Amino acid sequence: MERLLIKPTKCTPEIVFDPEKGAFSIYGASYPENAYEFYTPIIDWIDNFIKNEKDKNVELNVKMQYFDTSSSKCLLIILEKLESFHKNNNKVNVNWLYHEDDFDSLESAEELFIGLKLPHRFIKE
Amino acid sequence: MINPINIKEINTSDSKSEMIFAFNGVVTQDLIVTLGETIRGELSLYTKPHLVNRVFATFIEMAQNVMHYSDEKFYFDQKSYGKGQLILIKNNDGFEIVIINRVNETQKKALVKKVELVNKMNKNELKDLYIKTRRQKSIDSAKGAGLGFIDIARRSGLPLNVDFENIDSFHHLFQLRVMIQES
Repeated sequence: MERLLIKPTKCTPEIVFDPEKGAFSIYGASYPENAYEFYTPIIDWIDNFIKNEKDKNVELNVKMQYFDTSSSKCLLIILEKLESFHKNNNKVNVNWLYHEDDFDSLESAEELFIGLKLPHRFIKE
Repeated sequence: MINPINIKEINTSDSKSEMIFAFNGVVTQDLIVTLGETIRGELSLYTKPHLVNRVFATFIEMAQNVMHYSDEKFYFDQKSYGKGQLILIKNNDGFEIVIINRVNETQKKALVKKVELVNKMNKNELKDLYIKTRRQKSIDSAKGAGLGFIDIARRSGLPLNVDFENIDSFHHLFQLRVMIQES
């Protein structure tokens, strides 16, 4: 499988998903003109990864200064897919980095994990 | 009837309010990014980071609303962008964000219903509605996830202040004013 690499813009995050190492990262801000259009290739890539990989350890690092409501819907879909991968004899761990001044963002991040059985921790920068 | 925002009054020396910016025109993604950066740059000079982030986040959702849902549309590169006004005012209590755009009759009815629902809810009810709506919505149902108004109400912590003014029998001017208070 090819690595997924998307360069950041002012309103979309940098995406680096390395299937060999199981190292995934999402860094930046997310308020694209059309969140569905931006996240569809990313979600498709994860679907493909889940289909092809077995006995994998995945570590997802997220650091987002801001994500809008449409992006949060897409991020939830990504986390739900990783949750099903985790349930299926793989290991997934999410590290969510946040800035201590930004308790709104931490709250938004915490709410994404409500109802999900996906190992995660929040790390203050 | 929408009460006009009196720019002269806002900018007089003894006024307690100060206009930070007012835009009238087609709201594109580039414009939203530029005004978002303006908010971060300008407000950071005299505002706590937490409040800057809250004003920024609320502004982005409100501006996207004009871009996606204004009934007055313009086309560039086969994509449509809504026309409207985006205003940011600083006053004694904090910051006020105002959007004004044209809506049709169907949109007005949907907006009235949505605002009524959001305005009768407390903090926890809004949180539950947000989480439930996000889980249920399908990703491709619309440009937005239908979460914007709930998010705006949660960040403001105050009822959404909306007004409509008749333009003709099919169109209305829609105004949304949101206060983000210093806390």
